[in-house]
Formats: sequence, C-alpha cells, structure tokens
Amino acid sequence: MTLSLALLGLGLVAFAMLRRLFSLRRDAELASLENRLGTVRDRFESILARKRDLARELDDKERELATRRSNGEGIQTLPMFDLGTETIDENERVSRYLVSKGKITLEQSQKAFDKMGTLQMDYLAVCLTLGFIDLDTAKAVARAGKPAR
Amino acid sequence: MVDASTTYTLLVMAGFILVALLVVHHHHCSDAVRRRRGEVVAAERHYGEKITGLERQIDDLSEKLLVVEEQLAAMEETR
Repeated sequence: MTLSLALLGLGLVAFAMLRRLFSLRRDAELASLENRLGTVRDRFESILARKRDLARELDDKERELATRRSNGEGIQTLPMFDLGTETIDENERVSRYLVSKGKITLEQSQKAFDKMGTLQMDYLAVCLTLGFIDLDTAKAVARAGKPAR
Repeated sequence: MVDASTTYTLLVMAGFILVALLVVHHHHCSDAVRRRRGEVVAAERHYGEKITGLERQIDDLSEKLLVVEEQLAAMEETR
C-alpha cells in the first residue's frame, strides 16, 4: 500500500513538472514571437513618421517657393544685354547667360551645343530636353533674351 | 480494503490518465505557438509590403525635396 501511494505521488510530481515545462516553453516561444512582431511594427512606425516629416518639410518648402515666386523673386530677367554679347549669336548668348547665372555648367553647355545638330532644336530647347534647366528657367531666359521695350 | 492487484490496476490507469493529460496539454501548447507563429508571419509580410511602399514614397519625397531646395538655393543666389 505504501509503495503504491509512493508511486502515485511520484507520478503526480512528474506530471506537474512536465506540464510546467511545456507551459514555460510555450510562453517563451510566444514571447519571442511577440518580440519579432514588435520589432517589425516599430520599424513600420518609424518609417511612417519619417515619411510624414518629409512630406511636411516638402510642403513647407513648396509653400515657401510658391510665396517667393508670387513675390516676383527668382531669376532676374534683365542683365543678358548687359553682358556685352551683341555680336555673338543667340544660342551663344543664352549659353553664356545660363552659365553666368550658374543654371548649367560648362560641360552641360558644351553637351547642349553638341546635341543641337542631332536634335534639330535651338540651344534653350536642347537644355530643356536634356533636363539641364526646368521650364520656368527656360521661360525666364526666353523673356530675358527679348530686347527691352 | 482493496487487494494489491486492484491497487496496481488503479495505479496503471491513473498513470495512463496522467500521460493522456500531458499529451493533450502538449498538443494545446504546440497548437497555440503554431497559430501565433502563422499570425506573426502574416503580419510581418503585411508590414513588409507597407514598409517597401513607404520607402519608395520616401525616395520620391526626398528627390522632390532636393529639387525644391535647389530651386530655393538658386533663388537665393539670384537675389
């Protein structure tokens, strides 16, 4: 009788220990999975916050740019004829103007001259096509190229 | 008073029951872990796709920001 009670007690203790072992292992694995999920979620949140910051910054700068444009700031349209370039042709004059204003580099200017024959366009259009200047700059330069009335 | 053979029979039956309970518990634990792992993998895939999209948007925004900053700098120079 004593032996059977001892065996029963031993069996119960073993049962409790094994059950506890399984539970602990399950909890550890679940915690590790939660950590994995938390890491990915944190990364997502940080990237989302970064995107919001960038969007806000871009919005501010675009607003500032629009304000400046509406205030008439930006490219000055007067000085092309002050460069002493009356004797050279139109394309060369535009090129010098753009280079002097820092809108394009000398290399870009040379490349635009090289491409003029291939593209069958004038210098300003080639610069615009090749992406050296934007449309606003091209318009401003075209305006600046017209003699003052 | 029960005799010895009955006692041992009862002991063996109790042993079987305990083993069965352990098997069921182990099965429940494994099942919970497997289900949660599936959920986490699905969530990781979901967030991964969103992160890829966001990173693309961030690249676009950075490029636009660069262009706007260049335009602002050009305006500063021509002032």
